[in-house]
Amino acid sequence: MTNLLSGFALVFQPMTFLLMVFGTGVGVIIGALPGLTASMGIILLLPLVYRLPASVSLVMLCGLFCGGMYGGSISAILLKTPGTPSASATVLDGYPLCEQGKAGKALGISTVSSFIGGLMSTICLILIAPQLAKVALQFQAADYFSLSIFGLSIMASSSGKNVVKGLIAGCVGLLASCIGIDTIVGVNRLTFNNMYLAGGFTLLPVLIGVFAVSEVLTQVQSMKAGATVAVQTVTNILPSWIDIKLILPTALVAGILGVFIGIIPGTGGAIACFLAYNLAQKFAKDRHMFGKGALSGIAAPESANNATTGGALIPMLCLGVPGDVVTSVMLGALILIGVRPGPLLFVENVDIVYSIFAGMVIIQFLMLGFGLLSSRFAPSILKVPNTLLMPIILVLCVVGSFSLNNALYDVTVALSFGVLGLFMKRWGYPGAPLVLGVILGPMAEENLNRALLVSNNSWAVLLQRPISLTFLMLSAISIGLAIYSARKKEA
Amino acid sequence: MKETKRVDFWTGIGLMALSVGVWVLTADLPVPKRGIGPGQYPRVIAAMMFFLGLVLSITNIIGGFPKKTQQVNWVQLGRSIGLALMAFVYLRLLKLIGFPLLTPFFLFATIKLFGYKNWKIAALVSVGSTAVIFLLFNVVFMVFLPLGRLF
Repeated sequence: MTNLLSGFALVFQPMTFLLMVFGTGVGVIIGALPGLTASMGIILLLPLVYRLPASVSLVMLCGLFCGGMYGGSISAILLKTPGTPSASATVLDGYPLCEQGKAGKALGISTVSSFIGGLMSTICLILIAPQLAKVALQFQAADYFSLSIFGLSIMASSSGKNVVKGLIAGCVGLLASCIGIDTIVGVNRLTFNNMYLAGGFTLLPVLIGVFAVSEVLTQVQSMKAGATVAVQTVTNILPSWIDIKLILPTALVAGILGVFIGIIPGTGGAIACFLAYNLAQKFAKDRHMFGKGALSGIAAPESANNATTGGALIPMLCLGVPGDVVTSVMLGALILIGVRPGPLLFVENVDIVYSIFAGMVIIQFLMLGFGLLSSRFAPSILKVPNTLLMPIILVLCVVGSFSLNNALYDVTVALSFGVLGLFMKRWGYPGAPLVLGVILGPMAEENLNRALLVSNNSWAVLLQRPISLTFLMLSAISIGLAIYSARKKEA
Repeated sequence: MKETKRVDFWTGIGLMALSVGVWVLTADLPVPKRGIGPGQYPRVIAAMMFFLGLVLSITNIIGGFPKKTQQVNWVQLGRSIGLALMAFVYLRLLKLIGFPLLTPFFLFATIKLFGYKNWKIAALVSVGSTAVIFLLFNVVFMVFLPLGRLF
């Protein structure tokens, strides 16, 4: 409790609070704009992030994460185009309500439900994360190696349509992390005697390339000249007490579902929103209204997708394994600012952990405020064409990767990974396992080396430790299940 | 899936070739008596990648390739490649011409490539955002963007 109170004290410092408001606001805007995602927003803010104290930048990133998750619903309701994949189910009832001239009501319900889901997930984060970290403190080198394999395999098996392609992307990431001077013996590895390659691939340019540059390169294919956006006027956004009472049970159940889906690595808001929507449809009294503008049809996906935010932070903070694509980018951001997530974070950086907890509570209220104000600014923001935004984002990618070391080499790496990401996307290879491979590669190598040193080069150590064995079995199960469901679909 | 069968088959072959390359390139790296050496770890990954490449190739050659019914949209792909090339050229010229002078032209060209019609707004956005980004990074973040060698 004392830790949490000091977390609140830190969060309410003027600079931290302002940046948290900034992060949440930017997140809502980025989430609302179709084509821009929370992960891209975090990447664009990275040059700012590593110039700030760790706790401040993390709270800002959490704001962007939650804001981005919520913002997707704005364009889903007003434009029938989800701003983020997590808002895909919101379209089903949000847009019909908008067509009936009740856009304000739809946005209001979406905002309140997002607040409920977000707050529930924050409470779960505060209650579960420290306990899980205590368990994770028992981990040894072999367990950490198996944990990295588990993280990678679950991300590879769930983030794409084809498991083999996901695993290939993960292997390419692991291989990319091998390039450079080896940390154990200190010899050049796969560098072709190139002095730039000796330093290896820094994470920031890889992140920028795979997630941001590739997106810009992809979007240039589908841009239509002179495309205009028609946005409805929004009024009466504040939901009535009767409406809130109607959606409250749905939002609460969907929130619980969202938290648990968020905790499972490799899943995320996109899965949670559809599961919650289907669940709400099954049990709702007004199920005949689903698809025609049911309030529960907006409340369920919005509460669930926002509930995944806190859930996804649990494995990332406690184990160093991200819950979804956005948290994998956040994991990269944490490493960039010198914070290594994992159980030791709860021992060595208690202030950071509890400032995140306190920040997440405040962010939900900020999000509620931004949401209720969105009637004023949403229509204008949605009119900004992507044809103007995307080129600016490309320049920000160039400047962002340059700012890491004031070196154009990093920009070359970002652009090269961007081109790789473009072709990967085109041919169905997911980008997240590649980035996770680059992030987890050194951790896996270091811990495998340590485990083999302790066990006198016996690989059996990976199977002898119960925790390690559990993670390896879970990896096998996740890959097996993914292959099974893919075959079932094909059949 | 079907339309990528040909590409997937060749990607699998390419991955196997890459794995063999990694295996050969790491052959001379030292092998410690205990623990994993700098060469063994990439070799484990290369072995996995070889296996996955093999699976990818075999699964895509079974049943043969589909007939080329869908033509690749070269105009669309060309725009992406064109933009990537423009970005690489911009990067090369950045040291010579500098960020403040070169970026407005790059932004304007990119906005046009994206299909935005109104050239006045495009020019205004190009100059305006270059100025904002330059000031933000040079003054606030103290990241000194290249000024060029020409002046």
